[in-house]
Amino acid sequence: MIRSKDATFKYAGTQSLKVDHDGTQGEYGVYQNNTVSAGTQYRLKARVTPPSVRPTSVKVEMIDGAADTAGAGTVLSSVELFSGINWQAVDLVGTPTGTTLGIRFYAVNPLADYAANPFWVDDVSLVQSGSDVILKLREWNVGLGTDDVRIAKATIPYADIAVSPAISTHVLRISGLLRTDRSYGFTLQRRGSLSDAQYFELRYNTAGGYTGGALKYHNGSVWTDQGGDAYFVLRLPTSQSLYGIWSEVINSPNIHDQATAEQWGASVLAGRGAPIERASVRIIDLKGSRLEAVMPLPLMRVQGLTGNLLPERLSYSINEVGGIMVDLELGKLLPKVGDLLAWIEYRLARAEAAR
Amino acid sequence: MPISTPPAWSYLRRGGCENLTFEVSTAFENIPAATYALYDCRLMIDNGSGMAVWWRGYVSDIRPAMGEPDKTQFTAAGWIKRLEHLSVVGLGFPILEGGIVWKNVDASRVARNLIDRGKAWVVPTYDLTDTAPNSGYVLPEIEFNGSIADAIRLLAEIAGNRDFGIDAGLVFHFRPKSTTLGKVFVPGDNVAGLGYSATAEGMVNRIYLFGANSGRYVIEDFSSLAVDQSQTVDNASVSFGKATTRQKIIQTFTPTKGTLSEIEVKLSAVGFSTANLISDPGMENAGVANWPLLTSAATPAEGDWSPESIVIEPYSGGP
Repeated sequence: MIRSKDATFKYAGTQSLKVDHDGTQGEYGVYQNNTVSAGTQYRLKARVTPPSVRPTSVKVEMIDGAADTAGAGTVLSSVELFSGINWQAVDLVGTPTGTTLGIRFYAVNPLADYAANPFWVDDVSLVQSGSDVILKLREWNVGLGTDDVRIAKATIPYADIAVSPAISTHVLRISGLLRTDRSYGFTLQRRGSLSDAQYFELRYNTAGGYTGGALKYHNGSVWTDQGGDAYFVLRLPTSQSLYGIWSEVINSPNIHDQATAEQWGASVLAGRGAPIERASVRIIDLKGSRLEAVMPLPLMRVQGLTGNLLPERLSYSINEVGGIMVDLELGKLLPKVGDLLAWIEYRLARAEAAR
Repeated sequence: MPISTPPAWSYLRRGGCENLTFEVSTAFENIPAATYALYDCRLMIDNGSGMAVWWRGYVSDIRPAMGEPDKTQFTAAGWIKRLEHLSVVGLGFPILEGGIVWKNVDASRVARNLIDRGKAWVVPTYDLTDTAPNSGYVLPEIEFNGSIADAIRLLAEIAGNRDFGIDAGLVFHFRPKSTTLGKVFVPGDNVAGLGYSATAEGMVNRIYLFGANSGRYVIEDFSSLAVDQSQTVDNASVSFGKATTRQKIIQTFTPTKGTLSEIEVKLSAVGFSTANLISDPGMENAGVANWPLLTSAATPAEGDWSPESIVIEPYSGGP
């Protein structure tokens, strides 16, 4: 087996680890054994580029114990990545029963003759994954002092929660309408075993001051006042406050996860939360080459207008004398007509003065 | 064929060459049948230094235009339009590449791959130059069942409002919106008119997205307005998740608005470790001692590998 640092092909930083066989082994790969806390969940992340010829896959395994021999040990979690894409993401979790947690990256060489078929590994992390926190919005029964029907729920992965003393901010999205004549509450609890050694904290204000509710804790049987109020902000998009809700229901079976949904949504919503301004400009006697000759379509400016313009559509035609004319349909980034008129007046005044 | 009506054509920032229309002074029945089929249709214009291609696509519609003499009207569509009629599922992605599902792949790479697969059907005798850089957004998982054009449009939105299209040079591009000023027009010189409007048509500030696998997402803009809060002095911490007393906590509130979109809270964790246990995790050390070689359990032999030994993983990754 051969392994070396590769400075030319890497995911991040200046190097990656390149692993290849020399024709004498079936499995070829690398491993690390790590000392951990028994019974605690760990998360393994890495970037891997699989080998490109037979075999075309690389296996990544978390082992309950040492990982130094292929096929040995109990596999806690594994994934097999196939060629075709460089730097595929690995994300595995496993809970070892003992204090050794092994990880290994390897491919299986079925051929007796040697032909170079390396795979690469980079950016490996193995961290304690702790316990998730569940944030739920519920109705609060004022008379009985109990939390009631669940309205919304979010899971905050441990990896997203800052370790003391740092503090991180988290949100729970609410899709339904609430009533202003009812009380609600958001609860916070953890997944997994309760522990006095490993737990979570919520920021709060001892002086209180919020009159719409109170902070309470549950000791397993009843809710008790903590005194003060949690740090919390209930938010409403500015555009909804100004214009009300303008919603769309969209079916998109392409999208599988929250992160992509939000990434896509932010792009779609950009510039559509307020009345949409549009403009068009007609240019006569276009000289030279087509406006879209440079990709992507460059910004354009009409002298005297505020800002540069990014046309959505260019409609060309040829006028009576053979000159090229183009209508630019402009997007959200708009000129102000007043600016243009003021500028034309300025030009006219200058011309008049010069006459 | 002599042109009787000057051509008119358009270009979309998100799509590239769009439409071209023109009339020829040849009767419909005298138009060669070959022109009906997909045809590489180019608009050539002298830009002062020679003839240059200004628009390129295929003839999509041809019909008689009555008159004296008879004429024929042509409509052509840009090559991006052909992608509307090609399905992702028909591109022949191998099973091991995940069929029509991509995982952990940059959005630009998916777009590029779709074009690579689709170009044989789009412009058989011309190549589409791959000039698309990575978008920087890695898709955890994406699935396409519709047309290539729909897929590229969605990818452009996910990647952060990319521009895309096939231009007159038959180059496919998938790039961030331009921030470079390319042209300045001067009123009184060649600016002939300006139109302006503001409309509520098309306004959206909340999207209910029904995704794959019964996924439900509510998407709103993040330029938010705080309507109820308790955040002036968060001067202490209260624990939860403990075995003894504070097993869970609640903050009750009475909203002053019914259309709240999110609750924001501040959390921290105590007693957990986020230390990376891996030695030389970024492979930045000079040597390889931190990554020992695995002890192999088998020696290789021709014949070990056989079709029966393949495990088909349907969604193991994208192309």
